[in-house]
Amino acid sequence: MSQAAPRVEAEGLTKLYLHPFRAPLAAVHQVSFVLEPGTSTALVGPNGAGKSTLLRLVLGAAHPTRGRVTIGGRSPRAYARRMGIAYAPEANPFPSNWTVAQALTWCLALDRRPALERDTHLRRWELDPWAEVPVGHLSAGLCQRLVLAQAFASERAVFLLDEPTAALDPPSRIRLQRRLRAWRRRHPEGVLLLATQDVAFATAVAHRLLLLDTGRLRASVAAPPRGALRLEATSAAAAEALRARLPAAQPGPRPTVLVVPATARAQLWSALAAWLAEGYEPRALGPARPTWRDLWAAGGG
Amino acid sequence: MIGLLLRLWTATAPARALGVLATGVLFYALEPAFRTVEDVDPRLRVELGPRGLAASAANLAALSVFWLLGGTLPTERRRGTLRLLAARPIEPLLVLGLRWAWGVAGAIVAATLFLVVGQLVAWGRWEGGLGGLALVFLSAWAHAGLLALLGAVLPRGDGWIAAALTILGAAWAQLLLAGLLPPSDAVQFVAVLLPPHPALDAVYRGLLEGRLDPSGALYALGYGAFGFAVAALVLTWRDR
Repeated sequence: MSQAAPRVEAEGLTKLYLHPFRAPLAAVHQVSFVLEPGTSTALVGPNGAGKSTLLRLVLGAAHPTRGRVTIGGRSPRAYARRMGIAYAPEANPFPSNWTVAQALTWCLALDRRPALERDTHLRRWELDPWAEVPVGHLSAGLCQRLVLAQAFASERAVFLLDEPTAALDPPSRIRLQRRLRAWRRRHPEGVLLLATQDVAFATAVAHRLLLLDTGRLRASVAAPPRGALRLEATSAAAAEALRARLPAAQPGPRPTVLVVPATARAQLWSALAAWLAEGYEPRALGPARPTWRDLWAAGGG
Repeated sequence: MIGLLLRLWTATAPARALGVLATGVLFYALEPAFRTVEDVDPRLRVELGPRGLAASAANLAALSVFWLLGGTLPTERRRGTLRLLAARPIEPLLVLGLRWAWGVAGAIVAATLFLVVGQLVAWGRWEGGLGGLALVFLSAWAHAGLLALLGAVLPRGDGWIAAALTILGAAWAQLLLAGLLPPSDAVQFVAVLLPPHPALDAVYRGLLEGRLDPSGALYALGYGAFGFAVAALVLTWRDR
C-alpha cells in the first residue's frame, strides 16, 4: 500500500495575483521549506495568510510566479501524473446534482480504484444514509466528510488537506485525527501537509507548525510531543524558578512558558508543590499545545 | 474507467438532454422539408429532400454541443473540480477531452435521431440522407472547438456567447454571400473568427450534389482543432 518516499521541497516560492488596475497581490512571498518523508506539517495562519494558495502550489494546480516546488525531485504536476496526490480541497468540488455515491464513484474511477470500495468509504465516513442524496442538498459538514472520504480513498503517499476541520462536528474531528494516524501507519514514509486555523487540531496531527501571515513564512514551531504538559507562569522569573526545580522541563515558545515532557510528569507534582510553597502561581496548566500567542511570539510578532 | 465516466456524465445530465430534445422538436417544427409544399420550385426540390435535411441537422448538432457542454469548463474551474483532476494520476486534458468527445457524440446522436425520426414521422418512411452526417460531424467538431476555447478563457457564459457567435456567424455569412458587406480585410478577419458557416455551407452545397467539398471540410476541421489547441494551452498554463 505504501509508495516511494517523496520529499517536498519549496524554494523561494512566490505567487503574485496580477490585476490590470490594481497593484499585484502577493498571496505567497519567498516561502521556502522542506518536508521530509514521514513528516506531518501544518500550515497555520489567519484568513488570507496564503495557506490555500501554498497548498495549490504544492499540488501543481497553481504556477509559482517565482521560485519552485518539487515532490520527489519532480514538478508537482509530473509527480501527480505518475503517483497521484491525495487532496482534500477547502470547498465542495462536485456538481450539486451528483449524488454522494456518484461523486465518490467518479473519484475512485479517476484513481483507478475498484468501484466496489465505494460502499466501504461511505460507511467509514458515515455517509451511507446520504448515498443517494444530491451533493447540493448536503449540509456543510456532510460535504466536508465527502471531500475527506475521496481524499482518503485515493491512498497516496503525499496528502494535502485544506481546512479539513471546517464545518466538522467534534466527534468527526476526533475521527479525522484517528484516520490521519491510521493513514500514517499505512504510509510511514508519506508526507502530510495540511492548512488550518485550528491550532489544537494541527498540534494533534502534525510534527511541525509553519506560521504563515500575509503570504510570508513567519515561524516554524515543532509540535510538542504527545502527552507533554504546558505550564505558563506569571513571569519569566517564576518560570525559571520552576525550571531550576524541574530540569526536564523545556523552555516554551515564550519566556513565561515551560513544556514538561510526559516522562517528567512524576517529578512535576513534587516540584510544583515546592514552587507553589515559594509563593509562585501558574497562569495556566494543560496539554502542551501552542496557542496563537505562542506562534506569534515565535514569529517575532 | 472510460465507460464508468461516460455513464456518470450521461446519468447526471438530464436537464441538458431535455434542452437538446426541446431544440430537436423545435427544429422539426421549423424544418420546411417536413412540411407539405405544393408546386415546389425544381431548384429547391433537392433542398427539401432527405439530403437537404443535413443543414438543419448540422445546426441542431451545433446547438446540442452548446447544450451538452456549455458552462462545464468555467464551472468546473470555479468549483475546484479541475484541482481534483490535477491531483489524480491521469492527464486532466484527457478527461476533459473524453468529456468533449461525449458531448460531440451526443450531438451527433441527436442530429441522427432528427434525420431518422423526423423522416419517419413527417414522411412515414425512411428516404436516406445519412451522407449529411459528415456535415453534422464537421459542425459539431467546429462548434465544440469554439466552445472549448471560450470555456477555457471566460469565467462564465461560454455557452451563451458561443450560441450568440454562431447566430452572428450565420448572419455574417449571409451578408457576405449577398454582397452586403465590403470585401475588406476587417470583414474577412471577423469571418475567420466567427464559426465557419461559409465553409460548412460549401460542404452542404457539395453534399446536395453528392460529393464532399474537401476545402470546406478541412477549414471546418482546422477551425475546431485550433479552438481545442488554444483551449489545451490555456488550461495547461492557467491556474486551476
